[in-house]
Amino acid sequence: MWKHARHRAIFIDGEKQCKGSVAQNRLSMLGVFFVLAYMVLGLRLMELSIVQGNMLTFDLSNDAEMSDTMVSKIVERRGAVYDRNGFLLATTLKTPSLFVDPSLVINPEQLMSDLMVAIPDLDAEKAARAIMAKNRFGWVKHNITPEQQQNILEIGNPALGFEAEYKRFYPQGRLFSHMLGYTDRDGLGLSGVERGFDDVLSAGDDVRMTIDLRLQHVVRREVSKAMSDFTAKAGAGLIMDARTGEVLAGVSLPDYDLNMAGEAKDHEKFNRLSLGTYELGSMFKIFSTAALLELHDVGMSYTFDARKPIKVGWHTINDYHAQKRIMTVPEVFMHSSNIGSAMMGKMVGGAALRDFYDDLGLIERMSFDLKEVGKPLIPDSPWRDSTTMTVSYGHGLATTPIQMSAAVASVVNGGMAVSPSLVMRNKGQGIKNDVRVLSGETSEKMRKLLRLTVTKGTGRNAGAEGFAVGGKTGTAEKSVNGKYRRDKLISSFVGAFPMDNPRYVVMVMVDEPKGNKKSYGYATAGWVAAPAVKRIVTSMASVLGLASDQYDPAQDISADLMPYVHDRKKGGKKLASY
Amino acid sequence: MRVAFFKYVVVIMLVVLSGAVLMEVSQRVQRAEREISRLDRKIERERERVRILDAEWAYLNDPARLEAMARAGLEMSSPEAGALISNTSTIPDIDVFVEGASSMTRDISYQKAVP
Repeated sequence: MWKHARHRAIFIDGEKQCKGSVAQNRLSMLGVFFVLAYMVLGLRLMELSIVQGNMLTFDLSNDAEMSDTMVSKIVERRGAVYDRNGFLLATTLKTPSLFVDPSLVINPEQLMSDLMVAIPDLDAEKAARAIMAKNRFGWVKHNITPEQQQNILEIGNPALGFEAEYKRFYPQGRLFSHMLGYTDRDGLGLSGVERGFDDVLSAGDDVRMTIDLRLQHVVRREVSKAMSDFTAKAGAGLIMDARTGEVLAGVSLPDYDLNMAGEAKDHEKFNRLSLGTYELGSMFKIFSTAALLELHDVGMSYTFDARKPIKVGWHTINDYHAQKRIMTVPEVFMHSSNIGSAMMGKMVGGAALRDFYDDLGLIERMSFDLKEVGKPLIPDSPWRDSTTMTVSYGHGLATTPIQMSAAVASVVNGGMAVSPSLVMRNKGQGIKNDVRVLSGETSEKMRKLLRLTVTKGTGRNAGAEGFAVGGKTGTAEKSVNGKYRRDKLISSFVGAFPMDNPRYVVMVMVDEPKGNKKSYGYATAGWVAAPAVKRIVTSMASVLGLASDQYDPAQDISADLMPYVHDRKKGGKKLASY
Repeated sequence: MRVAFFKYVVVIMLVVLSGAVLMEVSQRVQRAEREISRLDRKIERERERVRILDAEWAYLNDPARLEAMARAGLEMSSPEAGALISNTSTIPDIDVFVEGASSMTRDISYQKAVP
């Protein structure tokens, strides 16, 4: 019983305890839950108000700037372009573009007049159309300036907003127009390096050009001076490294501002350096003479009878400033005798001359870093005698100035083929110049001849003091409607220096120059282009730090040729250099 | 009973403590993340500013502009071809200069005349 009672008592007690503890437990659990919940709320409150509140006090003003607006990440920022010394030529900047939400516009007239004050160069018609439209978004103006953005912010109209857009910017404006080129609004390269290296740039990588900004400026200045001095239509000029073919400066005039490429006219956009092909005239005598010296065992004393014009079929070959005598090789070259050069060409023969031109890269379209490359105009093969003879002095075939300069570089640099480049390559990936196109001896002879042309011949005006400049004039009549016109010339000069071991090739071409008083009415290469080359060489010296006392006139390489030069009269002031 | 109570106290304290530590850590993480994104934005902003300044610097260094300024403001002109030499010992002494012989001599002879 006791046992039973006890058992029972415990049972009752247990039951009692059980019921009581369940309620108690639930209550206390609820209590703990509420305490914890309030604690969480309290802590969260503390966190938000005190802990994080402290953090929010940083520069709110700065954060409100537009520059935080992210440009849609899909578009990679286009790579920059630098000159060979790392000077910035093209960059992509984030600029604000202004849009309007027409549904929020309350007073369109007021908004329009505010906008016209804020952005003076606004296209009012376009803006008005955007404001009056029935949709919720319209561009007012792309790529506004920071100042204009500030003006807009001061209007404080909630209907207006900004979105960041990429804009290509060319700090040098028109200095690099044809070499650098430009892009469309979507960042697609349309010309120049922007087009030629579009894949590299659009992947976000930078490009370094071979051009030296300072030399580019020098060439542009001097070509435009030659153009204005002789009221010419157009011009081109370049400096090339004679060994590597790197273009150190390349100018085509007239040019245009890359930042306003859309407004440029076609004749401004035309690249006269690598796309335009021109009959460059007597410059080709460099190559026909080199071909003769390379392929035939002909000494400098070899003579050509230039007393009478040559008749080839219906064509008569004349000398423009006829010496009317028997001339040696150096004389033919320095006086730029068409008759003599034609005879040289005939000696070489059509097929061999064509092959020689081909080796120098004058026949085929040149491979270059730009896509704008003109195809040379060359008479159809095989060359008959008449063709061969006219082609020897540069008549009846047209090339681009840059192609011509590269061929001249190959002739003077010791005989290695040069292919021009406009963009720096990584070490070891450069264009190789290891193909020999003529012998070292021929190259040396040609250097002497070119130097002689400047010391005694048609290129005298290119002689820069203190530098052994050598070169060749080229004056060609332009063909207008199939007829050559004596009053419309292309006057050009290609030079190289220092002539004992040339490092630079400099070329200037002027389209339709008109003679002036200073040039005694002449508009030929010796008067127009040669002085420009001289001025370029002079300025190059100060830019590149080339000392002028390294040249010793007593050691001049052209002195070797003097025994073969028999001038009847001293070089007159009037040199009509063709 | 006592031991059990003590155990509860310890456990609860640990829970509270670890909760507090967790909260502190998460706070710090949040703060750091916010700081990172703030700095990222700031860096991007500075980079953009540097880009603009680079472009402006390049724009101001337009050689045609510098040349015109040097000519107008400093009365400087391009050196002549023969002016740049590598051997300075060939430069004649001041005494050799003749007054008025060339534009270069003027200042020197002036200095000589007014010691």
